[in-house]
Amino acid sequence: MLNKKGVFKLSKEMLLWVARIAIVFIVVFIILSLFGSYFFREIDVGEIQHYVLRERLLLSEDCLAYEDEKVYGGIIDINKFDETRLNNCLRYRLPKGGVGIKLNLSYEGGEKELEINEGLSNKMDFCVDEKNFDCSDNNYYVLVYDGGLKKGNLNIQMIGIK
Amino acid sequence: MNKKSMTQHQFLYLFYILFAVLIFVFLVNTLDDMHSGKGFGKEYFARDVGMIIESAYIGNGDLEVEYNFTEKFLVEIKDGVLLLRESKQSSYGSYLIAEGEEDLDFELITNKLKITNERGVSVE
Repeated sequence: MLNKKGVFKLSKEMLLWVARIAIVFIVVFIILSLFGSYFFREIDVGEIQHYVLRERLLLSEDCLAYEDEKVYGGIIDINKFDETRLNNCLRYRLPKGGVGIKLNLSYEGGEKELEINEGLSNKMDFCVDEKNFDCSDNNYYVLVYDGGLKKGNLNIQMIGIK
Repeated sequence: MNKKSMTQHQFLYLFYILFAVLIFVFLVNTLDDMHSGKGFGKEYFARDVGMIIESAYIGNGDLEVEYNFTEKFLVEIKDGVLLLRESKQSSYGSYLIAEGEEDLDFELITNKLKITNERGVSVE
């Protein structure tokens, strides 16, 4: 069995090693930061990612595109302008990840607004921070099928973390 | 110092040596990834493949895309995140995918991916 002095020595030694390990982590962090900043190459896909998702919203039959016997890309089926449907059409399994989307549709039959991936879409105010967030705001002149074809305007706002 | 405390010290030192080796291996791997551009390559491929999969959802007809990598990678989608790396232990490039109604989960060691959309997107 360890005597009192032995226990004291060991715990003092352990405390010393905790400090040493902390120093090692700090050194590793500094080395990685230095090399990281030297070799850093950014891959910014925000713009193209948003473009792909916008096209998917407008052209895919699973999202907004109107269909009878064929699919009419660019014509919005008002029955598909539904939060649950669109959150299944563009589905992120990780909360607060990916791209948050706000849709605002105004047409001759009225005005509708909805959000996809609400964990992020409600953070549009952060778009002022261009260094950390990718944001886009686009308007589309669209046709809306609501019993018949009506003219409308669809505003799509998107936010993603860089 | 008695025999037991010597053994405890030896275990402690053994742990420290293992710890140092682990840190050294991690540091060398990470620096090699940075210097050789491997890390950049994995990030690039992950985002490229991820966006191609997302684009496949746009097609309303049948669609097939064959994607060739420059080397073999372990590619997997788990919980909606695409991970691309050389092996389970190595660092990875990742991309968060906007899936459709069906989960895309898969795990492949390959240098070629086939992305299809025939009434639903799948990757093999």
